[in-house]
Amino acid sequence: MSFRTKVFLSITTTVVISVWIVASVVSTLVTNSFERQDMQRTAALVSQFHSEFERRSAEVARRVNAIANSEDVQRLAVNLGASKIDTAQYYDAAQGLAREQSLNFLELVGPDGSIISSAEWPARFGYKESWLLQPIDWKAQGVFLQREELPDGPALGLMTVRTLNAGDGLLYVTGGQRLDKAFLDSLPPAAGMNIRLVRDFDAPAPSDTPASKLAADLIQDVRERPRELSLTGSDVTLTAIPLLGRDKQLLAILLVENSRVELSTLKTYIQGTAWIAGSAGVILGLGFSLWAASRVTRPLLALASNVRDVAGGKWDARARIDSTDEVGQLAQDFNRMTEQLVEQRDRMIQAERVAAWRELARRLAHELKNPLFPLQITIENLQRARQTSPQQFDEVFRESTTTLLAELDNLKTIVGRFSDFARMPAPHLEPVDLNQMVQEVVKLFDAQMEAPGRPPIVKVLQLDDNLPAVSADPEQLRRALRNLVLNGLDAMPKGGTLTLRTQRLDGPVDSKIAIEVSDSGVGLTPEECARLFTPYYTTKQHGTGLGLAIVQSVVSDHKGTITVRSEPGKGATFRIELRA
Amino acid sequence: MTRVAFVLLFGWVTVAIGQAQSPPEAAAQLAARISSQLPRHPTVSLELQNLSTMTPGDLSSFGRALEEQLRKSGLPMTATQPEVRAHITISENARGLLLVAEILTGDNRTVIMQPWIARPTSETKPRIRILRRPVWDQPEPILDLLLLNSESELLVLSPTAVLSFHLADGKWIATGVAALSLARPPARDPRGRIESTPGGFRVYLPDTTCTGTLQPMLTVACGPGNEAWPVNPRDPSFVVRWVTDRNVLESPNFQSAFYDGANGWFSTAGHRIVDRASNTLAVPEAWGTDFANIESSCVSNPTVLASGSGDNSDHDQAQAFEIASGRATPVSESMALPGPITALWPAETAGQATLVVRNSKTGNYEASRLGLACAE
Amino acid sequence: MRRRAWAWLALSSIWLGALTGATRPRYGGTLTVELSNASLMLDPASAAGHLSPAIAETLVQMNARGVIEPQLALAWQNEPDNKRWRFSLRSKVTFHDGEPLNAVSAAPALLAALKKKYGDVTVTAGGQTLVIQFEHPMPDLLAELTRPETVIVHKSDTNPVIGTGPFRVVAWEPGRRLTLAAFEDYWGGRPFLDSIVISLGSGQARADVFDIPFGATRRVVPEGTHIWTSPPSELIALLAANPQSTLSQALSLAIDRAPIVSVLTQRRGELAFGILPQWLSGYAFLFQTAPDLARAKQLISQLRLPSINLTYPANDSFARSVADRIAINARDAGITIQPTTNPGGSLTLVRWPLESVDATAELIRLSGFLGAADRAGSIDPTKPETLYEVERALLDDHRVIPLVYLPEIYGLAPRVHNWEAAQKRDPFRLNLENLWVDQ
Repeated sequence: MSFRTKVFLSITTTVVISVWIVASVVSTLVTNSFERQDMQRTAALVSQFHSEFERRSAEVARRVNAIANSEDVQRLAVNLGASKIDTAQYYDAAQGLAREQSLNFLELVGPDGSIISSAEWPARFGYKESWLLQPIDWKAQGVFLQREELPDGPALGLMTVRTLNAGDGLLYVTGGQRLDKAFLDSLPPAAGMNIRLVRDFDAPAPSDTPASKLAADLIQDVRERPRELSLTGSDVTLTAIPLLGRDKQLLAILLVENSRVELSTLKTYIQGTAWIAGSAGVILGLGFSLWAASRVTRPLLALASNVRDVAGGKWDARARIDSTDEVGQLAQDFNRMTEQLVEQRDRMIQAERVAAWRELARRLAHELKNPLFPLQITIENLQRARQTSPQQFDEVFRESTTTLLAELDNLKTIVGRFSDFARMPAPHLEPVDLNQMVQEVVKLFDAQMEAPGRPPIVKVLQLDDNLPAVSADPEQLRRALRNLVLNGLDAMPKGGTLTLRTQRLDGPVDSKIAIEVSDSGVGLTPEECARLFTPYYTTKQHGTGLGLAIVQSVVSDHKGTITVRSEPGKGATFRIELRA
Repeated sequence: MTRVAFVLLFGWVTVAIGQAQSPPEAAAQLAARISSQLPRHPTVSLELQNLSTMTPGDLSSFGRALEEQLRKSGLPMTATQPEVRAHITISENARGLLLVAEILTGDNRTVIMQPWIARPTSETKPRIRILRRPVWDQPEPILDLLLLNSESELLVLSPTAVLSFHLADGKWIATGVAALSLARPPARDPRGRIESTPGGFRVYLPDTTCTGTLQPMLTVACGPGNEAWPVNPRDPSFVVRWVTDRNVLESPNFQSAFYDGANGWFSTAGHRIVDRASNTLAVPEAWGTDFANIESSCVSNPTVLASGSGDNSDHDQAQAFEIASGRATPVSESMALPGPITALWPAETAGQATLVVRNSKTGNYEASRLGLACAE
Repeated sequence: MRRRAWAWLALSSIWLGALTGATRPRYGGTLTVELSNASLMLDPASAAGHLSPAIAETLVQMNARGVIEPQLALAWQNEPDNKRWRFSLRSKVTFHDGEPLNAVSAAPALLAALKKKYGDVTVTAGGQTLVIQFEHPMPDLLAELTRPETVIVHKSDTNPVIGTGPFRVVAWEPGRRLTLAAFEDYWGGRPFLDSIVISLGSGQARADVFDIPFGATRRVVPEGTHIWTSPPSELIALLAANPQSTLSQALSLAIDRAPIVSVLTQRRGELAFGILPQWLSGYAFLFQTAPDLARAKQLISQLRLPSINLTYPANDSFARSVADRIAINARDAGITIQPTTNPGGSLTLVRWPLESVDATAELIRLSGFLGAADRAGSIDPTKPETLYEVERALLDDHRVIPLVYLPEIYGLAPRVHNWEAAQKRDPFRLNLENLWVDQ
């Protein structure tokens, strides 16, 4: 990852994290605010319900009292008490009384619990309301909830009972108002609130929505333990208010549904806005980051480019100095460094040249010394022979001249090698079939490998069929291969295996080919590996030591690489990689 | 009116000439039909039910005749564990009497019906005459009166006083007046009772009871109280009490009691006549609110004198009724009266009742004694 | 006119003399009548009921004991096959328009009425003799000729009903008011009243005579009004569309008629277990049963019943009350009944008014409503058991469940006299010619 990218990412990350934190805080605050408001609305409605309930209760009590105190009812009580009157004549009395007082329920019940008149169910005259005969102080009981039977099913009523003395017994006046939709409508809920009265606890849920399931759970919970309870779902908050009857039995549940859809919508809206703002912020941040990164890293990048130039060999690269800050200072230091590098490089090149000349001179001296010493000995032998043993002079002269000529050939060879090495021209590139070349080169050494009296050397060819043609100088390349093969053979005096391999290397950008020459000889130490390509370095007893230097030179001219890997006792492998 | 009666009579006679049967004749016919259904002559129990206007006398005559005829036809009659139950109903429809016989053998039921045109004469002839003997009249209301000492002394109870009289030369001569100190103001519709006691007499008024003596002079001492009124002097165990401000005599749950010797009959607020077991006495609609039982040798069943119904302040009537099998059947003609009846009580003497009428013309209260005589 | 009957005939001769405050009737005055049924028509053939009895007369009439009596016909004979009947008309009878009554003037109305019901019939008129010839035997022709559909009337453009009755039509506002005036030349003697005004549907209870239908909101009855109740004259019953005997049986056991009578009719009605009331048949007591809720529940437990609709007449609050009570009784037995005014319910609450003291004719007529008129063939008028058997069979069909009999109730102002005596003559008609009023 580039420095600019890192800078860019770090700034961007900072911006994004900041935006996220702000958005989260805002979202949390909004959510909490709405939750509070939601709870307040529900609490307000519950409170309103209780108030309305109490108001209704007082109203019911007042109206039933009015009926109980009315002339008709008083007369009925007196008549009941005085004698065995025929109550049949009163059977429709309750309807008129209930209508006058706007009550949904009104029954006049005799001392034995038989209904004399019923407003809500006129046909029930004569039936018993045994619950009235319980020894209860009805006045103290006040107003209570009760399930009342109606022709079309049970209904919930806010009821109260008044009694009048009727001789030895009591006349019961029981009346009330229905707790139904009209009552619920009197509790105006806020928008998004829905109130319903659940009477049939076992009825199946109206739908399969999560809200219905939540309601079912809430109802079940309240049934098990009647108390006010709230449950919150994803879209709705449900509050249950149990409505208990006279004996504290659960008669109905007032279910307040507070829709959270608005909250969710608003939350979503706010979150969306936050996201948009955040994204905008992030984008802005990105832009800023880009600019900042660019601004910060541009000089550094320029400097890096200069460094690369230097690394690539352009040691005279100069960094621009655009500021006096640390970056400017760095550029200055870079320039100073490159100046020093150039100086040092020049010095080093000079020194290397001197060292190379010294080495060459040493090598040359060493190479030449060898043939020259026999020359000198031979000539001295000749002088001595002429002087001491003129009769053997001819033979000595013949032997000595033979030796002299041989050593002169050797000298010529050495000089020729050096000449060749010095004279190696630039490669003349043309497509070369390496596999074919390898085979040809190896063939040259077949006779040597199978020479009688010599431990056999097995040749192994592992040639890649997919090898592309290589742009190379065939002559030079052949020469380099010959040198490598020769080296390999020389490294296996006791025989072994010479392996030649070609391989196609497909890289991400381009293709290369690799040629390996492996022997199973004595191997090389790491120090020998390091000095191997130095001209005149040889591990052999003979040779000019130029062979691998030539190979390296050829490979270098072909813009390739050559490496060696070896371990003592395990042979060596020379690997040339060339561009395809 | 006359024309209507003619049509009725015509219809009646037409029917009567064709098929009229006496009770024995109807019983014989029915018995023959019943026995034809029971050729094996099982043991039979007989139950009789009357849902008609047949008089108790004719009913019992019919019942006896039927049983006799069934026996004659070879059916053994038994009351215990019969093989067959014969339930006979004397019913009535628009055309006349209908005899319905249900012959019940186990779960099987056979029904036989037989129309019965009863001979009209036996139903309509009155068996009793009401005799009315005026006793005393005065402008003030008379609540009750008491005849003592072989009807030589008379005590008249009015709302505020007791008056005593002595009979001389066929006329009542006043011998004393004793004012009554009442616990409450006199009722708007005053009622009261006076009865003879060993020491003198006793007066029962709404919320007031008084005891009085005749010797040496008429004295009365009153005190507040609500003792039981002696509705029937012949049976002091029948207890009814005055209900304050209700203008009724009451024995638990009932009003206006009268007494028939075996059962107390009451009129209810709905103007039905019921006994203590709330069984209704079927009475003609013309019954009023005043009635008194009266003994009569002409009638075997309890007899009651009853006033007429309606608010008519000009006229009233009294008529005798026989009480039997839950029905009140007239046994006398209706006696027209010159005004409304204000009091009607069984008298201290058996076979008599005290009647007080307010004469709508004169305004006087006329007290008389009623008795019953057998009609020729 | 609404029907009523009167059951105290046995004591008639006593009561004639015993009427409270009886005085000789006075002539003159106008009687006002209020009837709550505004759909009463003048046409004698109207199915909704009609007002014609005081205006038009039939050839014969039936008295309270079911005996046929002469009216416009004094005498009659019939052939043994009952296909041919001969009537001798009363002489010195005129219609309200002055036309004398004879066979020719009587024939058209009679023929029209008989043809409408029996189809093939001919009426031959000659002098004061009418001969009626049927294709089929007509043993019950006399009873038929007592029905108001067979009144002898004329029609004209100005007057829809010109009869021979004691009153003639002065004005007729359909649905509102009928005004009658005494017919001075009535053959039976001029009626006591000068005129009668009959108002329909007002429900004010201010007239001299007004009906008090069941279920009407309690009207304030003027002080001094005498309430007169007839014996039972209308049957209220449940009719099953598709009788399931188990269900009908269970319903009959579940329904407690006594509270319906004691409360809903204020004890003016009578328990009904048979189709004909006791006073008409004399044997209705044989059908009496007691409610048995346990048995009803047991019967119902064998059935799986959906909710049953009970149709009752719309605008009839009394019927509504009865239907509601039946529903609650049925509920106790496990039967769900839903009262409704929508037609087509499985059960229907019917109100069948009686029309005649002839029990046989009534049972045949009512069995026609039950689709069992063919049963009439087994009735032998001389054997009342056969009538009982037919009625028993009709009840055992479980198509009809009798509930209660209702009387007619009238309020009479104190100035009205002779009401009860006047009703003796014909139980089902309002005999206004015998009424008189104080002035």
